[in-house]
Amino acid sequence: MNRRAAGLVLAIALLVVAGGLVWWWARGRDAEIAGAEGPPPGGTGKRMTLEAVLYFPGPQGGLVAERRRLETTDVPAHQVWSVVRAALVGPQNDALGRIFPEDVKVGAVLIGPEGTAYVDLRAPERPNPPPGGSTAEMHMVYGLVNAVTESVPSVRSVALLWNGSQRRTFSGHLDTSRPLAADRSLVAR
Amino acid sequence: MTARRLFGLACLLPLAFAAAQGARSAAQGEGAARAPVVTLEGQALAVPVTLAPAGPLVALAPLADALEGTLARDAESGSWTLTLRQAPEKPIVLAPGSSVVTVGDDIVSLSQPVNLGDGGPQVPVDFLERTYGALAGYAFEWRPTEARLAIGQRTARQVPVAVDVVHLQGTTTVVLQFGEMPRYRLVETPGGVEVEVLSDRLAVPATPVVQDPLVQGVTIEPQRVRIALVPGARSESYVLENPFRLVFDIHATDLAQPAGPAFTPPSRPSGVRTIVLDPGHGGAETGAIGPGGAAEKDLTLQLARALADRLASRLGVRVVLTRTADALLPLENRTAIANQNKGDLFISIHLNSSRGAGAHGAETYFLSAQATDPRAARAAAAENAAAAGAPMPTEGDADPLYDLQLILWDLAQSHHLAESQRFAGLVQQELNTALALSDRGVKQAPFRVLVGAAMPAVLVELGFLSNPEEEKKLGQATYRAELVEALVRAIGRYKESVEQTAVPAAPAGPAAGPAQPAQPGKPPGQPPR
Repeated sequence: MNRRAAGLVLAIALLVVAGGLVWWWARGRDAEIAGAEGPPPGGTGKRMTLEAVLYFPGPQGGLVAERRRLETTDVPAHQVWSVVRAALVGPQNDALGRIFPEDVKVGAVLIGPEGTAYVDLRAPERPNPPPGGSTAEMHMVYGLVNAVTESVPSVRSVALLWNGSQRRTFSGHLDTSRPLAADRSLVAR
Repeated sequence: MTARRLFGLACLLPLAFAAAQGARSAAQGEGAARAPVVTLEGQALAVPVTLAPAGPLVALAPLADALEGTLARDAESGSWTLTLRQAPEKPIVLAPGSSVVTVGDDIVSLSQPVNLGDGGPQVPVDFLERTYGALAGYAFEWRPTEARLAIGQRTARQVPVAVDVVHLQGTTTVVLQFGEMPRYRLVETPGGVEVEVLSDRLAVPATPVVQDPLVQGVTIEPQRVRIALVPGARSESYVLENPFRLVFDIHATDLAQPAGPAFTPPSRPSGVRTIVLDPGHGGAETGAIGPGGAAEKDLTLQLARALADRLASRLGVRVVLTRTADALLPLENRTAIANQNKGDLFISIHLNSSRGAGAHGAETYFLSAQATDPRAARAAAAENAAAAGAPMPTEGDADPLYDLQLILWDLAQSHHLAESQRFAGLVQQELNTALALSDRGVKQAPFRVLVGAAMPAVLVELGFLSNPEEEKKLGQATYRAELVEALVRAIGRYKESVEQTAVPAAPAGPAAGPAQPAQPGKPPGQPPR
């Protein structure tokens, strides 16, 4: 065997190994992302654009609506996941505030036949939801509840979980041990 | 020679990679060398199992066929519902991609998300334990070295049961309280309803004597409980947890008129004698923190102490504080303290915060009507019983009075909400006029600390700590004294109105009963939005 042939075999072998390593790394990366943020709920769905309404705290204390077009699918659980993720990313209007700190991500989403969406919020570094006053807590909770129920027609109520567990309260005021319906009284007029 | 070395290296690299992959698989997949199997009492089932990094995933559809369950997909939500023959009243809802499932009213987090395979959903073993295991009596054991999921039936347990029967205003409530949750199913029979116990056995107590217009009798056998109804009566059932209870509400129809006299709730004299003040937060739970560093938990305690002193001297009432130090106190305990002390008024004192620094002013909340909670009702009834000197019902107790109190508590709630709204209006009025605060109005919210209070109850937010100006004012003793005086005036007005319109005290019933309703007045102030 001459040197050129051996070099060719070596090059092919190196390509195979490099490709395998890239594939291996990508698999691990997918799992890492899934663990940190949770993937959109599984199953297949038809791609679509959802006209969503998100809510963020305004400067005077009420929730202010922000309309968005979100790329998602026709599966309601996918839509809820997309709405919550967009709400957690934050407002486009600089005058509005975030509803949750930046490190809070959306995990699993489940929708029951009765129209209750169970949304798991994930923040591994935060064993407890952020502290605060009742208005801040209502903005956190109803910022999501109002957005989801208004944007996804088949959802009538939302139950929020924190790191996989349902909490009796998030910041010491609201009863979050049960699904909550939208509260339009919190929306700024 | 060099060419040979290169060729050898080229051959070794893929081998080394394959070896690394093999080692990884061996580390992750237990028993990866053989195809995983599922056995039921030693017999192999045709149920595919996929070995995922986080553990095995079992195809649910064929397993449900083997274990007498039905699996249906809901096209609208994309979720699947599993119904067990042994527990049809607890449908299990799951969705591909979600590690959260619901089992009846319970929410369960799984070790890994449900996967969607070719034949439908694939579930982790802990899903099976929380469903078929908890509800149908199966035991699941994943044996990694054998790559086998072994399913068996748990041995029968001896489950204690006690019976309570209460009749109130045309409805009879039968409560079956179990020492632990049995595996059971409900069977409608021509003469009533039966609880058929599956694989467990009941520890049969003495036959209960039932004298009731709608229930002819309750019979308990090791494998079933029979509730015999009068002709035409119908029953509805539901479950209460901790301790596990099956509750049957039995209603009269046109064919079955109850013969007994209507039961009227007991009462206690009206008035405002005991006021429970709840300084919000405490201990590790700081509540809001102002931009200048003021902590809500400290200021609420100062405000509550000052208010307690003024109420005792000005109105001559007994004042109870839920906490007197910087201590963490669960929300349920705060309401429990109010109930155990037979409070006539409950005021939870808070300071607000918002992400918008411009938010300012005071607001007063009372409980949303939809937030009333049967669990809270149970707790309130138990707390009232303790306050009356009766032993506190705990898990395993079978106290007929306990269930009676639940019903009475429920009846009182609509009145408490109306009174809470009226009192909240007075508080808001006084705060607005005395301090020229921005009127944020009387509002309703499902606040946990108000759920379960067996008395009129409000949560007052005395300003925004997140607003630098209000934080500064709240740090001043003179300003806090003005807030306290406004609350004293509101409580004084409420006390006066209750005592002026109070109905004469009825003969004393069970001391644990709720307050006798006063004449509900039109709520002053701004109505809730």
